[in-house]
Amino acid sequence: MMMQRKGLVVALTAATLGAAVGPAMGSEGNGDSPLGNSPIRLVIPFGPGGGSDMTARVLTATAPEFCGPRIDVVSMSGAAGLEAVNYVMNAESDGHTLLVTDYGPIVTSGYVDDVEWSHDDWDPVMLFTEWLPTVYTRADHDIDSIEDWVAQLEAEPNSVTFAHAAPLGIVHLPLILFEMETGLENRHIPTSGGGETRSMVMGGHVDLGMTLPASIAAEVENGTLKALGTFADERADVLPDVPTFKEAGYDVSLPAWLMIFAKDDVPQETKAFLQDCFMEALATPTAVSMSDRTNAGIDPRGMEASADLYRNTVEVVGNILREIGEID
Amino acid sequence: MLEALTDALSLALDPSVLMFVALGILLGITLGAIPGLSGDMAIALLLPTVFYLEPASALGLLVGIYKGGMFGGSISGITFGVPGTPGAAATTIDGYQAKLKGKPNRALHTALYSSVAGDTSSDLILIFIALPLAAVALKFGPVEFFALYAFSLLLISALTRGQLAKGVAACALGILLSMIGRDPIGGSLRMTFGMPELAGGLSLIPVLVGIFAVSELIVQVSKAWAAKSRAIVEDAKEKSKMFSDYDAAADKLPFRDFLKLWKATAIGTGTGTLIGALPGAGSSLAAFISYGLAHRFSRNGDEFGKGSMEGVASAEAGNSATSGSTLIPLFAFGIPGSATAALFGAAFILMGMSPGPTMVRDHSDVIYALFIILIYANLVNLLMGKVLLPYYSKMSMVQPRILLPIVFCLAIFGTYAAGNSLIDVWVLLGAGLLGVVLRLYGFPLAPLILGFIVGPGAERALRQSLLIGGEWSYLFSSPIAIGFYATALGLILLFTLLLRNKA
Amino acid sequence: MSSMLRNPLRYQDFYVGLVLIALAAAGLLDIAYGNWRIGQTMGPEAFPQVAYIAILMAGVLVSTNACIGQHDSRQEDIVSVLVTGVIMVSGGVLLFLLVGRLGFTVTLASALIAGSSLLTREPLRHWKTTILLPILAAVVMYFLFVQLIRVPLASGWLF
Repeated sequence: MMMQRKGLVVALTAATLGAAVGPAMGSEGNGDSPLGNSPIRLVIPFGPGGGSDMTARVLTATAPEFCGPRIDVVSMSGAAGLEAVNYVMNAESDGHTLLVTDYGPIVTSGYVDDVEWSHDDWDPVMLFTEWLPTVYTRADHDIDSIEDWVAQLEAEPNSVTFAHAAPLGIVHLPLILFEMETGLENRHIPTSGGGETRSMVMGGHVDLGMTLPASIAAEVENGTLKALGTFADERADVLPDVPTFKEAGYDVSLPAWLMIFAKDDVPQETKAFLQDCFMEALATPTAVSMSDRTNAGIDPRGMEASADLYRNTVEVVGNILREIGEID
Repeated sequence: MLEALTDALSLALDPSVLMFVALGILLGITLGAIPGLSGDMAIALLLPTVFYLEPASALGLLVGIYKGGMFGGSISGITFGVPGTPGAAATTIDGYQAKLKGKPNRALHTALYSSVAGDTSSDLILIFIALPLAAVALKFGPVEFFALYAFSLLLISALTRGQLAKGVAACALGILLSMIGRDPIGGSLRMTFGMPELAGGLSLIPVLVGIFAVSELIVQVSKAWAAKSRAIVEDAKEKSKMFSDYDAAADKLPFRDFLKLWKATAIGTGTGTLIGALPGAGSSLAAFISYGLAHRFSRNGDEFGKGSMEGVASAEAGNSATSGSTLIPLFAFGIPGSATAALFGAAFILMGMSPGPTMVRDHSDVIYALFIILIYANLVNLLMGKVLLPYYSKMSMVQPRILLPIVFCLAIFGTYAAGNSLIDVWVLLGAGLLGVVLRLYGFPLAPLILGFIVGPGAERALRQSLLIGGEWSYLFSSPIAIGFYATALGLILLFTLLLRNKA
Repeated sequence: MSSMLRNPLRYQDFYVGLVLIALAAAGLLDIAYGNWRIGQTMGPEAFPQVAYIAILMAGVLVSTNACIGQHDSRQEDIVSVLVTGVIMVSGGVLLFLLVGRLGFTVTLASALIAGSSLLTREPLRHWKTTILLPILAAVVMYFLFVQLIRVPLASGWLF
């Protein structure tokens, strides 16, 4: 008797939890779209709560209305992102399992890791946004600008310590590119992530750091941090006073980007449909306000523009890796 | 400011907010109690709700989940020997032993009270001393962190019964396991034996749950099998009995008895608060260091590892005391010091606030409401705990033959759910076998986990220091670092002398 | 002095120490001749090296302790525990692989029923606990993992 009652209590609790939490899981879509009813999975090769997760969730909230089925964000950070990529690669080519990533797990990984796919196996469906790597330092540091930095290194090579997350990651490669271009050398101090980089810069343990604008926009505004330069073609929207390295005279630009990828053997009509319904969703006022609130800076681009950017990045990254001897 | 405070009070004490806090705590305790799942996961899943809820309600929910999760992990640890969350690993050492001796209720209540005590102190410190403490935390660079990690390796002796050599070997093995994967400085692959699956290294949850819990489950299953095969017990007793003999009346914790544990709880609280404020250190490290220090300063040191309530109190206080302080770097600088802080940071961003010092200034009503919620959530946690614990105690005494398969499957799927990673499952099972082998040949498990947690941080801090400073003497360039080394040396000398005196 | 020395080969810990020494030796050899990248000041092989050396010294200590009589006692049931371990781990692997084929709830319920039955004397007599409860538990876990948390299972097996 006791056991049956216990079972009932357990079942009721589960049902209540499910009911309470269910609606938060994303809205059900309408049934008559070419994509059918089964959910679309946006797989991100990173842990939950980060920039990619937050940006992808904008689609979770707004896109079902236009695309049809429910959209889920699945975070798979295993094997440094390789598991996520493989998961999408091994899924059906019906456009329901898509990869949302920056160039690390797909471009860099494709070069340096032992993987069974190549860069041509992936087709961008659309681009969410570009992330512009930005060099910064603490407010009271001697170095005030790109020129100061270069001058210091020319006077005393290797005298500047530069913290960055993840060797060969998206905030490290631009530094390498800059050093290749100018012949200058910094001391690279790899860290475990943007948070550690910022602690080390603010605590005065290293001179400079590199990160993405959204994480330091508030600090730059209130004067705690100084941003020196951005590795992009144009200035970052949230850091309008920070020059690009191009403006300073160095032809160095290596933006990171967040794109949605499908396997290249997914039918073209499906990819086109996905592109259209996602871009429609991102143009809605809800999406725009979500993007603003989270500083996601969503500025979508379609398939062709994304594909150009993708191929360009593949080439640039390949050159860097070859130059430093990581690959032959 | 007074106006902001009154606004905050009306925001925070709204009945709907209270309801969300309670719901959050219930969710947190339940999910935290399942091995592999944690409050962090629930927070990540429920982040989208932040868009649809009022700020105070959303914060109430998330805070509730967080606090519930911290305590929930130790429920599973005490009742099943399976730490539900990494932070509960140290609590499990003595908590599970207590349950095996028929005192799960006592252990659970000790854990609850010390958890609430640690949590509340940590929250008060967040509210009143966040900024100065944050300034100290910023002074911790690679040199200071390495000194801290080196200091914590001293704990091997506190965590080892029996031959110290085996404890050292276990710790070294843990360090080696943590080195599998990509070298954090150079990027090259280490010890992956040609398997790309290992490029990301081994994650903490599968290793922890595997080494501690799966190995324990295996041992218990083999005991249950042996008991079944031995034709001793009369069938009459075994009818459809679900619960083994358990005398609930004898297993109580009068508040008086808890007060006797004040020293252990205080050590845990202080240590946990300090370590929680350091970005990157982590709640399991805080729990282990608290446990080790309490062991060293306890009059009943021999009881540790055999079901000592001091062991439970210090570990759980240490674990829970990180809860408020982990948010300090986030509030002071916008730097998330832990995965949970990062999730809260994301929640703040979703609510339109940008984490950092401006947050308190620009959104004082919401932030003060948050502080108020943090405090009273502890009370709700205490109340719900008291209501739920008797059920958990009873559940812990369910016969092993029924319980073990369920907990085993929960451990597997919980671990899978934690990272959506198939590799984690294989690591879990492999670690389980390793844990069994270690147990059988007399090796202590806690030092292995300590080595696994401390290894990556220590290596990174050491190599960063050398890259920045250029030479080994740089390690002694900081007064904080020297302080740690001196204290470590002092403790070693002190206890060697004490041992000599005893002999 | 000679009374302190026992015949080490009789004691398990002696062999345990030897295994540790062998492990450390293998590791150090791998570092010496394997494919390790060079680093500045301190390379990627340094920390593992220290760990291996620690294991080596620990192994020596454990073996010598066995010689002078300080050792841990032998556990009675090593073989049975190890066998149980291997069976359970294989079961876990099988469980996970089958979930993709046969569906979550069915596989889980079967596994739990099998587990409880194996550990219970006269499982059919106690069907309430060996069959009904496992099914209930499987259903609850289904709600938890598949509906609530939505873990990605089934298609797309990796590696």
